Amino acid sequence: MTSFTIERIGEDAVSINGIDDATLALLHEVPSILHYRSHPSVSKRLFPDVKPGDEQVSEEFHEATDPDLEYLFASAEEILIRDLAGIRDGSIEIPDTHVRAWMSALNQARLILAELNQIDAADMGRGEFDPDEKKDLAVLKIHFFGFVLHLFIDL
Amino acid sequence: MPKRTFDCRNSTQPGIVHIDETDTEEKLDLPWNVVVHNDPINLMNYVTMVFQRVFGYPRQKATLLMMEVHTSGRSIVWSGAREQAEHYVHQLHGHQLLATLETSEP
Repeated sequence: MTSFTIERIGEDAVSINGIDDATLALLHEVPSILHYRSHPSVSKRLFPDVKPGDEQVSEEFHEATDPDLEYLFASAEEILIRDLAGIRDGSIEIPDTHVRAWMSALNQARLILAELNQIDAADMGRGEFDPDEKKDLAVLKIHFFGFVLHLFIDL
Repeated sequence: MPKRTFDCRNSTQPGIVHIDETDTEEKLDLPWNVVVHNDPINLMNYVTMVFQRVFGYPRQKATLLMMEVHTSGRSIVWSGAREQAEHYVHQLHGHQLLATLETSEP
């Protein structure tokens, strides 16, 4: 068994290795999770009001920035999907320019899972899980995507 | 309050928003605060990294602000002119941080 690692190759590329079947399956879940971006509670989290209590300022800000955010989030998803399709023998090399997209997609997935399953700080701090429980499984996925995100941050 | 319009269409880079002022008589604003709120999902080192990237803060300052968010529930991470504050909040939203604006009390 190889351990999951993310490391730099020179200045312009990053190598992701040790992607076993379970890890690959979880990574392939990310795009389907991201499809919930337009879910009302998720949308409120990813596109928050800029000035709660001031409807005019918040509305103007939404009009100005939401399309740009949607583009950023969707671009990250597309890059991740393309890269996932390129995984061979548990490894892939991605350009350094894709790292932000991976981090964005993974973090979006974490936040979306949390919103859809109403996960709070207490849930995140628990140490015991029942994988047959939908909410527990979501927490485990959030932790796993957090682990991968952590490896990217440490690059 | 003067009418303000925003336009992302001419943006050449994701994350950059052009703001056109339609009223040049806008009086000097009070400082606008960029506030980041705690959430249980974003990783602490992720938040630190975002503060470094968005504001250019050194790691120590970024870590202190992250800890304030974590322990106090919120932190004013930047104060200044409205346009720049809006730009920063947009960037923070792009990194999925829960960020809002507020005006400083006179």
